[in-house]
Amino acid sequence: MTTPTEAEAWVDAYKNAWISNDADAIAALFTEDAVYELRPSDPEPWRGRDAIVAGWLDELDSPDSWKLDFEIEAVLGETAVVRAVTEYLDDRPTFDNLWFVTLEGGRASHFTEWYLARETSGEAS
Amino acid sequence: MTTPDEVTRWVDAYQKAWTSNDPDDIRALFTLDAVYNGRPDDPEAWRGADGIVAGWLDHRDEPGDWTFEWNLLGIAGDVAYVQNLTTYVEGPDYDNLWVIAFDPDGRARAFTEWAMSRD
Repeated sequence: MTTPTEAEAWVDAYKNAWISNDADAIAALFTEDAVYELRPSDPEPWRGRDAIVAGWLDELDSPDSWKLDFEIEAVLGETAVVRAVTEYLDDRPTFDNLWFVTLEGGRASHFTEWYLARETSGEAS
Repeated sequence: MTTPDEVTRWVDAYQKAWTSNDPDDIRALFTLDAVYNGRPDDPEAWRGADGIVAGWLDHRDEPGDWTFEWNLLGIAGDVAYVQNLTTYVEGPDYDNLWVIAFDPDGRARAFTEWAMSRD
């Protein structure tokens, strides 16, 4: 059973890796054979720790371009449900995020993200 | 504690209401003061059974417009996490995540959909 405390420690480490973009810090988040889905039912998930590090560094954000607030909304067995809001300081919209993170010994073996951009006021929908 | 069987009954009843668009079928899914969020923290959430029925009928799909398959990701207390794939005959497919908070009678008191288009 994953605990909320373990989940919180993992998301804190994720945030630190997002800031540092350090390959070792990213690698430390995931198990050797982890699967990282950038969206639900991702047809091309990143498979394996090396692929995750490569994918991450390929699409990296600069550390001062975003702000992430999160809470552990629930724990479903080994899987933490993380509710987050990501604000970007450039012209990107704010995103609501929901992560499903399956932890094994403190590392993620599976990560799936749902994300939805908030509509800015006045924007046609 | 919500059980997997209760979630299955509710999702089956949701599909029945989705097909019939019968106000009684829709109303039976929700508590009187339920909130239906079409997206997380929806600024235009449908509130109350009457509001939900009105919103639902305003955005109704017709039977045959869609197909639906789902699986239960898990339950935390009285909140169920349901993943589903909705395909429309016309229009994109959606990977949806439903967060459903139940009352003790098996009705939803809060419903939130995260709908990600495959486009």
